[in-house]
Amino acid sequence: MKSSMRNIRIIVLALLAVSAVALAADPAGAASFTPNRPIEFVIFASPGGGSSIFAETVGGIMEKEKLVPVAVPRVYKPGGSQAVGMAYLHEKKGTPFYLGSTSNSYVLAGLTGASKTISHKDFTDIAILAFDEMVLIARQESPYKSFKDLIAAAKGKPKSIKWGGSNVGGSDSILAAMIGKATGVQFNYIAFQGGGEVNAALLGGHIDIASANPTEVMPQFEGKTMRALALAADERLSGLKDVPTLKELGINVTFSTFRGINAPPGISPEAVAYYQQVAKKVMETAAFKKYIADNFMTAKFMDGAQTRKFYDSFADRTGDILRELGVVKK
Amino acid sequence: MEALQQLMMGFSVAVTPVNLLYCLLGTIAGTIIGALPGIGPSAGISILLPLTFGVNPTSAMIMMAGIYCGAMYGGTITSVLINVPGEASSVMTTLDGYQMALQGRAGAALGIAAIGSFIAGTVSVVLLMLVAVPLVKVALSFGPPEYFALMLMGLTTISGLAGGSALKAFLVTFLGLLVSTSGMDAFSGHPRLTFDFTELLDGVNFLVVAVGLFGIGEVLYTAEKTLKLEFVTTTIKNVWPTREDWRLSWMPITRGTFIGFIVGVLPGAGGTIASFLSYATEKKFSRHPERFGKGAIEGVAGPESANNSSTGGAMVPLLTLGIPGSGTTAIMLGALMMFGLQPGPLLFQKNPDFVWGVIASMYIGNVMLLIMNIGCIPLFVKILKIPNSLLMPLIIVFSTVGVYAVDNSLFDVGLLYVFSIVGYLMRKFDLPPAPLVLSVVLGPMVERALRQSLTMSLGSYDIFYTRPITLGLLLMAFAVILWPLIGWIRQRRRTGTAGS
Repeated sequence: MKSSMRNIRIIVLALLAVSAVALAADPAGAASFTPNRPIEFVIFASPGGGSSIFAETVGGIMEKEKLVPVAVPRVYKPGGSQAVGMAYLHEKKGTPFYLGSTSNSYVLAGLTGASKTISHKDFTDIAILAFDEMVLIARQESPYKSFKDLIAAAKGKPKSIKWGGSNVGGSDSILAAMIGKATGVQFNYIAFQGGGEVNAALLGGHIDIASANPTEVMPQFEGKTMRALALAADERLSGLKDVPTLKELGINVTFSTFRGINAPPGISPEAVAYYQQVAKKVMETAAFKKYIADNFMTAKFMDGAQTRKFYDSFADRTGDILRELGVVKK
Repeated sequence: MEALQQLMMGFSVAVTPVNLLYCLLGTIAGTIIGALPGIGPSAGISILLPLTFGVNPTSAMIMMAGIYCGAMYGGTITSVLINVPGEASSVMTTLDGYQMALQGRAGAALGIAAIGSFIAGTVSVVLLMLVAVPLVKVALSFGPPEYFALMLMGLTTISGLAGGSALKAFLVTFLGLLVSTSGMDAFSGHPRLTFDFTELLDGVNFLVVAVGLFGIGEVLYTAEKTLKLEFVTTTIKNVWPTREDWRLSWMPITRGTFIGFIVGVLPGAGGTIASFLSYATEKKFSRHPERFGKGAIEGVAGPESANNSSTGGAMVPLLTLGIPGSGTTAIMLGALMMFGLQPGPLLFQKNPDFVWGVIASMYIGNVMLLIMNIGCIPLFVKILKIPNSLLMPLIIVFSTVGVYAVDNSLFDVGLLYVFSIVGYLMRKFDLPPAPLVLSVVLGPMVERALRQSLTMSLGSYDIFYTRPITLGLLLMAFAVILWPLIGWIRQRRRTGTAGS
């Protein structure tokens, strides 16, 4: 009896060993890395915002659809316009069990001096998965029924249009500056704390225009309290068919929020390849497609090299604007 | 009548066993979160949010509302018993609540707080049902100039809060304003007084200041004293509020309820400001303002009612417009978006079972909290029987854990100890800590509102007297400043004529 038990144990162990070897030698030969401890998914912001919804969705899919064999706990490291979380992830140099959730502020932090020593160039890029578009909004009672009305009213009267948004140096202010530059209009930009305050000020008529991710304001369009004036995207959105893009209006400005994944510096190419595969698989799931549709986003995969290229050009583009805004010293 | 029908439907949603369970879980978790120093309702909801994934949005929201209300009750416990504000809106409760505890009246303080909270919480849900829609229109008419005037009024009342020397109060207020200027300047994008610490880019979290100054600062001070003196144990007499306590408290509870609700509705104001406007109001209305800060029960009843009432108020813009009225409701909004539900102006029409279910559960939650808190008072006051030599280190441990948990930041823990030493020194030099904490809260709001207003008006100061609400609030602020001066002049004239 006893010896047969031992035999079974030996057989089981042998089987485990064989399967472990089989797993390690991936037939595709691409990913020879498999995480053997939980992957910490770091969010450089507080719960509740766009970054956290992205990370909770992606991390949840990785766990639920068993795309990774381990748990993916989400860890919030907010503060310092993402600089605090970036510093935390950077400390994990060479450890392939950490991922970060990137968005515009991640590149901007390295430009504005929020993060003095670390920039996007100091991390391993995994992928970009999607883009969150930006829509220009006015309240329903506003005299500006279209974007053309607004520009026509603003022309020749500098600072007559009040544009509310997040802090100067953030995405809202950059979009305002880009549009201002393209149309020759000078907006009166007013900084608020967070989207909630901006929307309240817009509904109260204290500001004339603001920008937002479509998902934040869709219920306001349905409730006829706000109207969408224009979209800063390349193409119209299926959920907002009537809203023209800025390009259609002859204003050559596109601007959106990217949603991507990065990792600490110095992790092995095998680990990078592994996580890129996982990211691709995440994008193929129904849950991810639902997230994209629900939030009126655009899904688009960029691998590590493409991602780095995108970040660099984003940094160039916004760097000029930030210098003009006086946020970055020339 | 229609509202009543809707409410009935809401109750049918709320009393399902699952939702009752979430409501109970939320209120218990909220009470603990509120009692833990540092972690307030917004941090608490963030931390517990992942637990609700996979749950339907209504149950999740019921749990979050339970946490929100529970935290307001829970914050009182530590404020009264050990002088550590569990969350920001119970800072005011420490002033008189802790004094009451020292006099052996901790039970009365906790009792009146629980009952006041219950009345205020329930009335604010009634108000949420009845006047939500018209009220939110008024709230939206509050723009940056109106907020500036409101916050300025708040700042002018600070000096009166501390009792004792007005000069000392002003000194401490300015120190607080200095602390509050640290962080990223939203209008230029430049870091300001951050000394190259990335952690300071978001400014100094006032919870860290509050827990340091009140909690550990007090521990250090007491530790020094008890080393010399013999052991002091408070005797616990009359656990329940007396008839006299009731007589003194019912008006503060009523006023606190309305102040809390109105301030709660205003996006960006919230429970902290509600609680201390209520305290300032009670002190002004009182025939014996000198009792405040020495264990006046009105100083507990008013602010505690106000902070609970603000929860109902803060739900108004969230449910009617999809706009968060406070940090806590902002996180709730984000959570609801994660669940695929997008609150907006049509929420009442599109998801009535959700809205009314949540409203009904807030009634139930308040009843649960009342029973829980009243029932536990005899248990809570036993904390005071723990010898100081054990209690003091425990307070330091809980404060440290609580502050760390807010942002998972060791930097905040370091900052906590710095402010603990500041708090100890202030106590030694008899400087009041409350004005410092409140000016750290109000400072950035006043500054932001002022600069927003002036950006709106392109630098013209006309904006402050051409808008009626702004003008009214500013006149009230001046009245607050000038009132003692007028009294002083009259008194001088009287003594002057008597002398001649």
